[in-house]
Amino acid sequence: MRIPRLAVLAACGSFVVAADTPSKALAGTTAEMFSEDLTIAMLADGRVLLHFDFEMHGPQATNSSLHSYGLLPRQIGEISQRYGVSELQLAFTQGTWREARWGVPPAAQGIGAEVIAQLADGADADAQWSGLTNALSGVFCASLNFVGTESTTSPRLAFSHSQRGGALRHGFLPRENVCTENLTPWIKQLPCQAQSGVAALLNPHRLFNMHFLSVAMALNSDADTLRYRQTLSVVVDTPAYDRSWALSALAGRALAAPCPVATRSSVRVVAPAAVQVAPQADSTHNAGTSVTHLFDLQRRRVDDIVFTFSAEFDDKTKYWATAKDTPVPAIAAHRHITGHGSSGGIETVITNHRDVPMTVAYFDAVPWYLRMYAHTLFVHATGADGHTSQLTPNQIMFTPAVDRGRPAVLELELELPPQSRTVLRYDFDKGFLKYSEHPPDANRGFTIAPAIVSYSLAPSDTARPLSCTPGATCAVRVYTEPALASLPTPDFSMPYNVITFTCTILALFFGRIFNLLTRDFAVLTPAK
Amino acid sequence: YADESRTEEAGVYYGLRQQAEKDKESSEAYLCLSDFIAPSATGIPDYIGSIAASAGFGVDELAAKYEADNDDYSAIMVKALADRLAEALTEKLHQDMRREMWGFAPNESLDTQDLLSIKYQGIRPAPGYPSQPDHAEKTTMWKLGNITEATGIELTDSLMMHPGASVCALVFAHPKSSYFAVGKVTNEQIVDYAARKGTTVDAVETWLRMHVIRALVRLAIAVFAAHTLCVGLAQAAGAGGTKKKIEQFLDTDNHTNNWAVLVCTSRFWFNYRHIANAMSMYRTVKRMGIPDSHIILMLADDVACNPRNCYPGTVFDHPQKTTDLYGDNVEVDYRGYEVTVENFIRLLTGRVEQHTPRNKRLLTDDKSNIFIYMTGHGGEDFLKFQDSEEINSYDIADAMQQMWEKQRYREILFVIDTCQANTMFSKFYAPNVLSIGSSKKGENSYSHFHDRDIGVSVIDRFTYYNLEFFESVDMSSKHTMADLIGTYNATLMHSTPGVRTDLFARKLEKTYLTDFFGAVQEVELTPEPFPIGQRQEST
Repeated sequence: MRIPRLAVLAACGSFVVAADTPSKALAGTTAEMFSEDLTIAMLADGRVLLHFDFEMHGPQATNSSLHSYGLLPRQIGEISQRYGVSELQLAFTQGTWREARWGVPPAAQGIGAEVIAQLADGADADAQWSGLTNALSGVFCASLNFVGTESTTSPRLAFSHSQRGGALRHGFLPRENVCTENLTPWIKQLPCQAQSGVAALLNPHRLFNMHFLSVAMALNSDADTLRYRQTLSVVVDTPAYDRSWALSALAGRALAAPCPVATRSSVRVVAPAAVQVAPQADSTHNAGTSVTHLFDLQRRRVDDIVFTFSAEFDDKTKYWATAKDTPVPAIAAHRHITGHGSSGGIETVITNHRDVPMTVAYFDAVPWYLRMYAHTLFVHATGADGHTSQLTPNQIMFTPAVDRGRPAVLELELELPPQSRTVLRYDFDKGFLKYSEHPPDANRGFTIAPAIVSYSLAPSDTARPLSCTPGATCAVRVYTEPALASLPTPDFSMPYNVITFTCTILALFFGRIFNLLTRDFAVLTPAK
Repeated sequence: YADESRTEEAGVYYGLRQQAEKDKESSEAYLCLSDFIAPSATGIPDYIGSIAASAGFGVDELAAKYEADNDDYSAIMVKALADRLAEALTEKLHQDMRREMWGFAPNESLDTQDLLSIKYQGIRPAPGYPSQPDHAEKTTMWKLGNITEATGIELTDSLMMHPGASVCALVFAHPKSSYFAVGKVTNEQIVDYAARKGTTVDAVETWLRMHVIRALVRLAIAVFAAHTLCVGLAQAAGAGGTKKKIEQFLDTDNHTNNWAVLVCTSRFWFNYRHIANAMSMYRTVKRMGIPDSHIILMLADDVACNPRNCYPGTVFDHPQKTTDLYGDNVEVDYRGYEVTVENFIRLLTGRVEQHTPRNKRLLTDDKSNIFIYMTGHGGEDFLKFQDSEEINSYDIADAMQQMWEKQRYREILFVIDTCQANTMFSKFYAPNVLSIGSSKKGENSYSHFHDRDIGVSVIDRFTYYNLEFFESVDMSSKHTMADLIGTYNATLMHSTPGVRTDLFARKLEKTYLTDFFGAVQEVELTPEPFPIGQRQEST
């Protein structure tokens, strides 16, 4: 029974070793790279966005080598090899990004769990996809194995920018919770876990006390390199409504020394000019009313960052008023369900905030039990002049649903007029589910995955997500809210009543009639 | 003797007597094969039969042909089938001998099961096996029966039979004859035996050692041809003395790995306490050394990140809120809608779907001790899953029997905290299962500690008082199950806990808590630290 203690000692020992040898190893080779960056942005309503970005890339693993994975998580590398994945995106999101208050989201997000994978082309792509989602569900403690054929799609327009040949699969679980068990494996994939660098701030107790959280990973694999990027965006309240607050109070932990294997370790603070940031940053840039402060953690040790509002902002409402000029994202999309009873409709409002026409792709996968009528599709755009007219999509792709097989998929390519509001609507009837197909909390209703609007962002556009490289065209996805549809719910005690009642009738009537028809009745005379 | 006149000696079979000291209380005799033959002094005429059977002619050639075609499976199957056929032929010959040829049991009518459990009269030990470990006796047998000429089965220089799939046996008819193992053979026994036989001590030792090697070879073959293992075991177990040995072997306290299956079957916020129950058990087994990879945690709902939880990311089991059970590091293997009766039964019995990842599989073996903890709402003979379906006590009992048959566990500790919990294990019939429940039939289980901030009760009484005991227990603890059960206080728990020990082979006073709650760990330390991030040159 003393052995387990030894094990702990051994584990600690090897960790120390792991922490200081690789930097030497890396000095001689550029085989693997790791960078860690944190962006802290003060949002217009006084909340704070923390965006963690960890990027690793290394040479493509060969099958034979057991030592191919130094920094890259071995499990991810193996999964991508096993299932022939060239591109993989996985995101767990909770909370709605409020673009009216917070501006441009740091990355694409939709409430729930989303998997997008580019699989090697072949007849067995569906089997590979099923294996992949199961493997990911094991790695990330999530119910991704529920992404069956019923919620899998193969988008043709919406994700075309990432298409590189092969089979594209998209799965969405709008009801998936995000909690510590999803973050635990995600943190374990980092080379220094949450022990050092900006990752030291990843404190589940603070992260889950949030307004918005998105935990994501993206894998990009080509012939000779493997890139793995882990991002986490979280919107939290500031620790106190004082004039001044510290990062350590926000996260409940202090920044640690950078991860020894990192080639870059930085903190970027985006704050209004009226906010003083201490200690002094290594460099600052002014961009409009906000200032970007850059800290290079490898040049010097920074334990904490303190934010202080200047005296004129003592009153938060003033701050709120000056922060109104937060850049608005080019495209916004919202969706809701209309109607009641056994039929209804889906209505999506897409707004173009730019002065130029925007070409967007609309993608909506509707579960089979909302029987969608494609002929009811109606698209109207209201321009800046208030004039409403019908908008003809450039392209329509519709895949009808198969009961219990696949969802109905509607993809449209739309050219949105400048400064316009486009309303897109279609009707559905509600299907009946089998008694056993209802979830345990059937009366809650069914969550319908968000619709996705994707577009290409011009290099000149300043309202850019953090995931986009400045000065380049960038593919952006906008997710609507998920919708809740209530379906006719049976009284779950009813089947029992029906079964007992039917059985009684069968026993009484069928038995008698059967006897009457098959038996020969005769009067017996007692033998003499 | 050469004929019925019993004057001319045709050959002599020698025997070895058991020497190893037996239990003082035991009334068993120290046996030798000669005990089952009438001594010549009595004047009663007696006989020894012999059988030699083979199904091996041509098998080697056929197997070689398959092997040449790289069809190892067929090659193994051919050999295994030939072995089985030879055994079956022996069984048939022995039966014919009993009923007709020799006819000492003419009215015998036994079915296959009876044959396998050796209910027939007499025995048929073979030289080289436990009752007579000396292989050299085969030469006597071959000489007396003209076996090579009559059957074509030859003895090799090492006294093995050729072809391979052959069986030989000496047949004893005495009604009280039974299989036994000579066991440890002492030196003076060998000297005496050699003197009686008129051979050298070295020769005897060689042929006795052959017995051991042969046994090892047989074992290796049995493991290799896994599909014949069950049949082999059944026969081995049928052979009296060997059966005892196997039982002793299985009874020894040597589990090699620990697993925990922790199940909270309740959905919805007001069942917070059930998740706290399961989470506190999770923390306990984890603290005691069972790694996450050996813990299957099933939580039917997520209360830690529930919008109603005013302490996000936490689960507490006490209003003082000193220990957060959810912590920074938790792995939930089945969650939400995945927690169903079907998945639970599949997990236990190992009948999971093809792509199921490792963390959703119970990868146990016959040396695994499994701790199963269940909590939720239940009633007489059922436990509700997700408030929508039920598992009943027969389902779990059958699942456990199936686990036993599939050699998926060594011992199980089943603990359940629910209303009328003791009814849930009343139907168990699989061996080596120790069960503990929170309340007897007709009794509810009660909650503990209503927390005003969280707004609901945070733990159940039975689990709470178990945990209270576990606070004093660590990995090196020598506390036993009896110590734990001794602390149960029905007044504090508001219900009568039940313990079912009739299926459990060991005494509770000798069953350490760490047998189920701790982990057997084997650690190998490398002499050099292993560099990370450095690519090895040789790949």
